[in-house]
Amino acid sequence: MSAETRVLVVGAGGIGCELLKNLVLSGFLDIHVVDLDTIDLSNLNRQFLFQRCHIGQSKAQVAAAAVRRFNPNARVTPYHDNIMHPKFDARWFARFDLVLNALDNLEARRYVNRLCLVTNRPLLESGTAGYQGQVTDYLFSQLFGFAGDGDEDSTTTMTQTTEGGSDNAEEIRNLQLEATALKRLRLHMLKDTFAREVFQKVFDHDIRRLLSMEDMWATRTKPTPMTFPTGTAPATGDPAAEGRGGGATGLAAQRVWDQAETIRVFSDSIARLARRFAKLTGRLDPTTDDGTLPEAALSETGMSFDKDDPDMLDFVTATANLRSLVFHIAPQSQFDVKAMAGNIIPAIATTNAVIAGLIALQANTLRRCGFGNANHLPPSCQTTYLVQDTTRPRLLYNEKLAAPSPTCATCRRRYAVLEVDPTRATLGDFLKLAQKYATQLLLGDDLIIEEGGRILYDPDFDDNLDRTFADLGLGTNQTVSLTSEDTLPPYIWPVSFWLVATTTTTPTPEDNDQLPPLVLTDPSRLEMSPGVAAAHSALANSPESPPHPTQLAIAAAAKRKADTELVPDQTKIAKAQEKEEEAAAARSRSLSTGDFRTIVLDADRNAEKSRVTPPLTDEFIILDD
Amino acid sequence: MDKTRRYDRQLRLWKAHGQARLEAAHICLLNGTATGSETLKNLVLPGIGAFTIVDHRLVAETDTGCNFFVTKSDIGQPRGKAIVEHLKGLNEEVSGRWVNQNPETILDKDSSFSVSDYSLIIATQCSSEMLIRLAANCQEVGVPLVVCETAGFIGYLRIQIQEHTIIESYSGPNEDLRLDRPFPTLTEFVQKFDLNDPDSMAHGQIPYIVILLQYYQAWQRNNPEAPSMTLKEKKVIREAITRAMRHPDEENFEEAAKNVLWALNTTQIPPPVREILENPRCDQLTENSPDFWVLARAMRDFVQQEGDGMLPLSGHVSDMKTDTANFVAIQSL
Repeated sequence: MSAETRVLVVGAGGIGCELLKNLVLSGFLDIHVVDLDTIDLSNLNRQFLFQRCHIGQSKAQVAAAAVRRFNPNARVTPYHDNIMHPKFDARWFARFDLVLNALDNLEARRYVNRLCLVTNRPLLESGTAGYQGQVTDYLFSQLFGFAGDGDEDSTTTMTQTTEGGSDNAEEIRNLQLEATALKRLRLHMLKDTFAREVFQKVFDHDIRRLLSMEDMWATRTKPTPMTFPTGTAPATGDPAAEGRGGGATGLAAQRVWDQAETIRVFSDSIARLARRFAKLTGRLDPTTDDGTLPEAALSETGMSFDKDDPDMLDFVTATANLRSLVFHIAPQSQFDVKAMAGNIIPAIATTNAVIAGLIALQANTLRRCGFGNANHLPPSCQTTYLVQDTTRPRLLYNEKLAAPSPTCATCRRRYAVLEVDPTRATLGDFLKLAQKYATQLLLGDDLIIEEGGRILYDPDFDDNLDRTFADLGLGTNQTVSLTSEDTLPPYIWPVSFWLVATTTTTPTPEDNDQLPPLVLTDPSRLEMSPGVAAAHSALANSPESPPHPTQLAIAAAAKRKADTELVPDQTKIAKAQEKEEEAAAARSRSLSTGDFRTIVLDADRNAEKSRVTPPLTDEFIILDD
Repeated sequence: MDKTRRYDRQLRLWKAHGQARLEAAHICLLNGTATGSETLKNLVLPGIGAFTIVDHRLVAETDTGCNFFVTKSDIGQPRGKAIVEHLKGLNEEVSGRWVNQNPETILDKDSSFSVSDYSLIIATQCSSEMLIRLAANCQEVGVPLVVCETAGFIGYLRIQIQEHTIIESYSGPNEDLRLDRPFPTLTEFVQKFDLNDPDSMAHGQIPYIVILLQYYQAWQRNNPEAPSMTLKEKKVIREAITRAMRHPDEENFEEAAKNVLWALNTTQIPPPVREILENPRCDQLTENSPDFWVLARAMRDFVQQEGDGMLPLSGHVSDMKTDTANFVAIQSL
């Protein structure tokens, strides 16, 4: 059984190393691991599959080799790559029985979650920070929400506020002045006076300009401009040098520098960075007589912040602290600045081991029950927290996962994979496909097609119908959303189509034409999940709000589904109806408080002018005339 | 320096002194089981000083299925030796050794073995007879003992420890204002402000500490005999402060109202601290006493003498709504 189980581990860092070990010890024999990182010295205090000799090598590859050595029968496939790379498309994700996140950033977590939703894969999500950690299993459920999902609740139109023409013109002139000043400053990069010039601009001139805006300081503490100390170039007694070489952990790094020290570090580090910049751009020898750089140097690429680069860390620490002094904020030690600027999260082997152990236990449980059933949210879905709190008697706490909510912008969305040949498939083809599945879609006739924030089609805008997906800039890993004009927002049940571009390998166009340009991989995904369907029918049965046609359609579909496939046992149906009635009664009680009210102006349908709606995250007003 | 980069992520949790304690530790594991090896892994990685594994078995096929720190090629080799080699590979700063003895009989058979040589003993898979003797031994010399067992999906962990003292300075959630016993410079400072100041700008800049103290002093004048303010009285004051706001955005009054409940408490030594100060160990100081008890005794002496019954003042003042001059003045009081 376990031999056929294929798992994906996303991340081979602190949790990933422990998890890979646990997986091979638990008899998982087909493991794929993705990580784009290389091994750093600071990883070795916990990522035990790596040793000093591996520094600089791919985490995924070294980790895979290390666990393979333990069990030569295990097939561990490493990918030294970003999980968000288009090559890991929906078809690739669909190959796995289980996805295990061992990530360190929200963006990738969201992405993996989304692909798990689209491809219906169970996901175990985890994270640690210091002594604390958590594990959550998500089985076909929702997580985080997606930035820019094109949902009517989350998309906002980008607007630019302009306050009258004359103000605008002045604003533009100021911006130009500022740009010129900064450019001139940069040309002086290699001059001895550079540090002083930057200092005077940032901590004196700019602050004075801010102070001149009286309104700004009515209710806050005014900053105090700071001037560069007069006298010879400060060069000695650089406190940062004491801690340098080993990064921000030396003694001087733990101590907060005084103002004079901070200014010395500022001057010194800015000179070091300027020399590096000049070298990087090949402008070590200034070509103009007075030591200024030629303008061409400025168009070249800059350097980006790296918390482990001592020059940059010195500069950031000193600059941040000088600004803090100007604004009367307590300065910080270099050690603490490094943690803040580098977004460093403390990490130890023990916490990762505990969390990875919990993941492996849960993975085993899921394997035993066949990775759940696509139409059910198993009651075991839970989050386990590892807490460090001496006032609590336990280390581990469980919490049941909340069920999807029909009023949640992310929950009520459906997800499906659409295979397209972008050069042949047109938006019209897509519309036809959508109309073919109209019954399942429950979106009515007036469909809207969106991508991100842009509308590709609505009943009054059909210009794009003859354009291909390629023409519209749509390809692998993009999402096309289907919503409707016909429904009221609380009851819209939008569908996200995750695109997979099929590369046409057939040599002749004739053969090509045999293949449909658009294939909906699994039409059953257009059905809504029973949990949300039940919630919808509860909404529809609410006595105080006359049901909308869409609601009725949804309720009918839900009932059909419940009758036919879900619960053949009559007592269960009766129980479910009882529960529904209870929910409806509870809702009508809560509705009578009248806390949430949506104003619906709908001239077309002559619908009620005002109605009480269930609590939503944001209030909305629809003007539809 | 190299070491501080290697340990960077953990130094942010337990700082240099925690690391120093870890590096001074020598930990002994009885039986090289999978659980024992995993435990040592989590200690070797952050850099304990040394570890010793007492084990007399040879690596068996069953070990390789559950213990990540032995491999198939180790089968038939001494188990303790194999685990030591694998664990040492995790961190070159840590020294490890193997004692080829049966942990069950080591207390009788190996006179060179003494629990007092170690900072911590971890026992796995020991018989209860052995554990009882071991626990008595550890208790006698004050060495902590950790006993852990696992079987399938269940496990067990027990710790025996005599006393564990930690000296760590940190600041609590609230600052220590002692408004019920204001020091003279604060009283003087507070008198400079008029809560009925007609200048609304100045009114909006009165630090909340001043507002609270003036209300407190008014209460004291009306209740000269009362030992402390009741919760009900505090709520009345909170109400009065809220009413005194000239407009809804007067943040200083808002801060004052928000902080009434704790800031007007009677200053006292927190019961857990008092318990430590009253512990007889403060009286029984010897040259071998842990620093903790020496420090506790010094603290008690201070409280009884200079402190006038109170703990030393940290002097920390967090940010508040006022102008810079006032804030700096408060900080320097």
